[in-house]
Amino acid sequence: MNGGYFDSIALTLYFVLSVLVPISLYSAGLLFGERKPSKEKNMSFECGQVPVGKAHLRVTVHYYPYALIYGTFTAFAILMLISAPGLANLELETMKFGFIGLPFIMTLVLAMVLIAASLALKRARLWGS
Amino acid sequence: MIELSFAEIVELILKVLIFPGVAFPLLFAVIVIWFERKFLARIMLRIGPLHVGPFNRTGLLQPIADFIKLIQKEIIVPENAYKFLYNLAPILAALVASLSVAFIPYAPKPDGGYWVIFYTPLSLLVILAIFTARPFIMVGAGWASNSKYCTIGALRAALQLLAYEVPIVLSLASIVIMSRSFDLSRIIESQSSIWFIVLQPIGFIVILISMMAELSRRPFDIPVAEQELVFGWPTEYTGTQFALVMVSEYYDLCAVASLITLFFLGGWMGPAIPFIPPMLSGIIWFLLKMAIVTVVIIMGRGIYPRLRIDQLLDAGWTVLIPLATIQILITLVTAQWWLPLVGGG
Repeated sequence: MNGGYFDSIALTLYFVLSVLVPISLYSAGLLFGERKPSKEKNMSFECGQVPVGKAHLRVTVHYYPYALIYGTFTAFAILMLISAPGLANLELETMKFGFIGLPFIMTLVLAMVLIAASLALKRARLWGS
Repeated sequence: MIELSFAEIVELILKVLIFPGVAFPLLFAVIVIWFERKFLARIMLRIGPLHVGPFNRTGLLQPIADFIKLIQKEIIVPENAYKFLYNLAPILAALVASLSVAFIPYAPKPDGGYWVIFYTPLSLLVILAIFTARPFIMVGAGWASNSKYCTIGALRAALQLLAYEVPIVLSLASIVIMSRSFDLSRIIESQSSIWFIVLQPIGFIVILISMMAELSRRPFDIPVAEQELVFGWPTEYTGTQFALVMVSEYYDLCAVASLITLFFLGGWMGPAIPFIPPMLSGIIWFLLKMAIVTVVIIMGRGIYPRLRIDQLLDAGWTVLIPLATIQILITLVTAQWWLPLVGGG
């Protein structure tokens, strides 16, 4: 049977090994690899041109709406996932009273999410571009 | 004091070291890298790897030769990079990618347990949590490299992976509604009479597409697009660090193929193979289905052109999320018809 300290030992061993494998690969590279650093080699790669300035670009405001929609839809998705195990039985319970309750409620929640997302998008368009 | 019997020690070593432990994802990576090169070559009317290895014109040992070459290469850290994070990211990527295998059950054991490294009734949530950690590593690596291509690649990776997490969670919700459990082994057992691919065809398509996007494989390889970004967020990595990034990609492929098999293709379910114990035949069925899923995922790289980033994001938000929601609605409305078909619960 599963469970108890047996599984914990297995997971701990597996974790330690999966830390050790990449570290040993990395150190093998350090150990057996060449080491002749030069200025050209250590430049960051820009197809042969000498890199100028910092590479840390600012994130443009165009991406902001996506963050907003992500927030709203993730809330909906997590709500669905966490309540999922009981939903089928709940649906059968409501069926006894002769109406399809859960899909109706779900569509309602979804409508709210869509309204929230579209409001956020409108707001962001005013803001951006 | 912890005491283990001899059989338990053997099981522990088998699980942790061989299957599904350390050796299995590594072997999977080596075999799939070889197969992918050969398969893509045939699609493009080339021959592919040829000379290395025992049999004539197969190039069987090409991945191992490549790996030995990569060990001999210099590990270059660009002069502007944040050295600690830059060196840590490939190790973390490989670690996180290999962790998810520990929670996937591959076969039922004769004593009523499952062939899995760590059993938990919430394994689906654990796997989702592990998957959520990946964008942070990509963004961290791209940011720490302090190179323009890496930064743009990291940004694209973050956008793409976030956009496609929502449809994955939504389609998983409709699977959990059917199996009524977050336990991965329970999800397989509830498919004992009928596989979920028959009951949830829309969910299967959504998961297949979004998982391919999560892996950033060909039609969706925008974060690592060679023609635009050299190699995207891992551009600056060389030698074994590059090998680690590649291996972590194939670890992820291994986990994703296992998960799709488990969610939709009935996992270890299959007719008993004569003269083979049921646990072993379960593992064989699991690996066979996994191989088919892997081939389908790899085939995308040979036959589809790459999408643009705006096409990809629009498809995610306006097609896949509504489809996944429709699947949940259908699942709920038809509850009284599928409930007798689904075992477990």
